[in-house]
Amino acid sequence: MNELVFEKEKINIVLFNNKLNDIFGNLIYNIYLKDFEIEFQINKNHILSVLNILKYSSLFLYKIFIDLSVVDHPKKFFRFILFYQLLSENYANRCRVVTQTDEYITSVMRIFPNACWAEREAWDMFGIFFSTNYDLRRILTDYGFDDFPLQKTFKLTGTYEVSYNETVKRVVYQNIGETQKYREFTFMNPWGSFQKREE
Amino acid sequence: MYVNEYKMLESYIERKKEQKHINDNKSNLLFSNKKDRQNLFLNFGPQHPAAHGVLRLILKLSGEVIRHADPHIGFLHRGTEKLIEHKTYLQALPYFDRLDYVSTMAQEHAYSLAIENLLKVSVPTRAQYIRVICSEITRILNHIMAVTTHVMDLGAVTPFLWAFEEREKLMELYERLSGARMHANYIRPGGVAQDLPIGFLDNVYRFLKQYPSRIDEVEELLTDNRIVQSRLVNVGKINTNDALEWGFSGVLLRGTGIPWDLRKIQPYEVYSELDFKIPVGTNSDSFDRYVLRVEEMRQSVSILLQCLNQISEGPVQSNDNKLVAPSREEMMESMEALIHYFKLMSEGFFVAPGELYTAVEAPKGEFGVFLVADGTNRPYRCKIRAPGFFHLQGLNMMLRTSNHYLADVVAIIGTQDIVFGEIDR
Repeated sequence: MNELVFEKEKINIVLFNNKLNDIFGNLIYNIYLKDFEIEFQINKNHILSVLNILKYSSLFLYKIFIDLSVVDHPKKFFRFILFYQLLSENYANRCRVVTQTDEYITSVMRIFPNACWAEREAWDMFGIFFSTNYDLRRILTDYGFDDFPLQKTFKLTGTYEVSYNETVKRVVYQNIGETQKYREFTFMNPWGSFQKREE
Repeated sequence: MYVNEYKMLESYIERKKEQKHINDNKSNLLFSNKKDRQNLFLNFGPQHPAAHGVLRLILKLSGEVIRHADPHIGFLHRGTEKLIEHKTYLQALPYFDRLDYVSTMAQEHAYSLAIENLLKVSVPTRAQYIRVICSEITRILNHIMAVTTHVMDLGAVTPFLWAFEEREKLMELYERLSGARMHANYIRPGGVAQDLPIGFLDNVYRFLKQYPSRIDEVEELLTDNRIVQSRLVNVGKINTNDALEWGFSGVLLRGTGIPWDLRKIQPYEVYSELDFKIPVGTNSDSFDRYVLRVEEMRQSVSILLQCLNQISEGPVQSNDNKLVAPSREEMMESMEALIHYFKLMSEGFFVAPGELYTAVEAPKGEFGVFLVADGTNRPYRCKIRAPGFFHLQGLNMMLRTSNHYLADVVAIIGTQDIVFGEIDR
C-alpha cells in the first residue's frame, strides 16, 4: 500500500482496485485516486463499517481523523455532502471518505473519539443530526441560538444582533435593523469572461 | 431544546441500540454519577488572563483534583467560513490572517497553496524561498509567544519582556515586507504580493546573528529553573495512542516521540532542499514540549540562514496573468494588461470545479484548508481545519488521565498553545 500509493509510476490501478474490491465488496460505490489522495464514495449506512476497515486494516491504518467537512447543496435530493478526511501516520497518506445525507447520519465517535467536536460543529453549522453522538450540543454559536448559519439558505447578515441596553442594564437581543438592504456583489459578468483557463 | 422533534423520534430507536456504548462512555459526560454531590463545579472564564482568549471551562473538581473539564468555545466566532463563501478568492485571503493571529503567514500559505493546487499553478523558485522565509519567521514569532506566555502563566514574567523585544524586531520585518505588523496579506495565490524590499535579507541576517544568544538567555532563566520544572515535568502527559486518537498534531504529537512534520513528510515549497531536524520528545509532558519549541526556534534559525544563502534573483509571481495581476509597467503600456488588471481586481479569477484538502505545518500543528470550487470566482465552501480545535478537545483527556490539579489547567492550556482566533473561526 505504501509503495503503491506513494510512487506514482508504480501504481497498477487495476490491481489496486481489485484489491480494494476484495476488501470492501459492495460497501463502496467508487474509488478515485487523485495525486496522493484516495477518495472513497460510500452510502451513509456503511460509514461505520468502512471507517472501521480503514482504521484497523493493516493495509490502510488511517488512524488519525483529520476533519469532517460538510458541503450544502440545497437543491439536491441528498442535501449535504460529508467529507471525512483521514490520515495514515504509518503510510504518510491521506484519504477522504465521501457520503451524502439529507438530515441525519450515524456518528463515528465510536471509531474516532475526536470526531465528537467535528460532528458538533457540523450539527451546529448545518443541522445534520448525528444519531449516536451522545454529546450533540451546539459548539460555536451563542447559547440559545436556533438556526444553522452555514446552510446556503441562511443570509450572510444573520437574523438578530446583540447590544448592551443602558436602560435595562443588560445585553439584549433584537432583530437586525437593515438601514440599507444587503447587496450581494458577485462581480460576475453575463458574458463569462476568462472563465476558461488555458490548459 | 434545539432539536426538531421528529428528528428526535427517528433517532430514538438508534439511540436505544447504542445505549450500551453510551454507558461505556458515561465517564465522559459531565454529570456522571451520584457522587457528583461531593464535587465542586467551577467556571473558568470566559474572561481569564491565563485562558489565552475567551475560553469558558466548566471544571468538575473533587477537592483540588480535576475530574472533568468541559470547554465552551465560540465566544470569538466570526463566521469566517460563511464570509469566505461570499468573497472572491483573493478577497478571502485576509481572513486567514485573522484566524490564528500570532502565526498569520502560515495560514495565508495554506490557503494560497490550496488555490494553487486546485489550479495546478507552479510558483517561481524565488517566491518559494520567500514563502519559506516568511513561514519560518512566523514560526519563531509564534513560538516566542507560546513559550513566554506559557511560563508567564506559571509566574515568570522576565522571559516575556525579553523575548517580546525580539518579537517586535520580527514584526518590523513583517512591516517592511507588507506594510502591516501582523496581518500581512503577503503570500498570495501565484506567489507573493511583491518582491523583497532592498536590504531586507541583510536585516534578517542581522536579526539571526544575535537571536540564538537571546534564546540562550531565555533558556538560562527557564530550562534548569526549579519552579518551571516542578510546574511542567510530568504535567499533561499524553501517550502516543491518545495523541493519534484525538487528532493531535504539531508539537503535541512530536512530544510523544513521533517525528511527524509535514515539512519533511509531504514537503511543500523548497523544504525538501533544506537541511533541518525534527526534534521529538521522550517523556511527552509539558516540559518536553517547552524544550521542543525552543529547539524548533533554533531549527528555524538554521533554515532561515540556509534560505538566505540559497535564494536567487528571479520573478516572485507566477507569469500566468489569468491568476496574477500584470506588473505596473506592463499595465501602462499594454491595453490587454490593463484589462486583465481590472478584471482580476473586480471579478477575480475563476477556479474549475473540484475539491481539495491542503495542509501545511503551521507552528501549532497541521493547519488544513478544504476548498470546494464550483467554477465561479468564489469558493463554494472553505473548511478550515484548525489544529487548536482538536487540541482543545483533548484537554479533558489530558487533564483527566493523570489526576491533575487546578493549577495544572493553566499549564496545560499554555502547553497546548491555544489561540481562539483559529478555534472559534
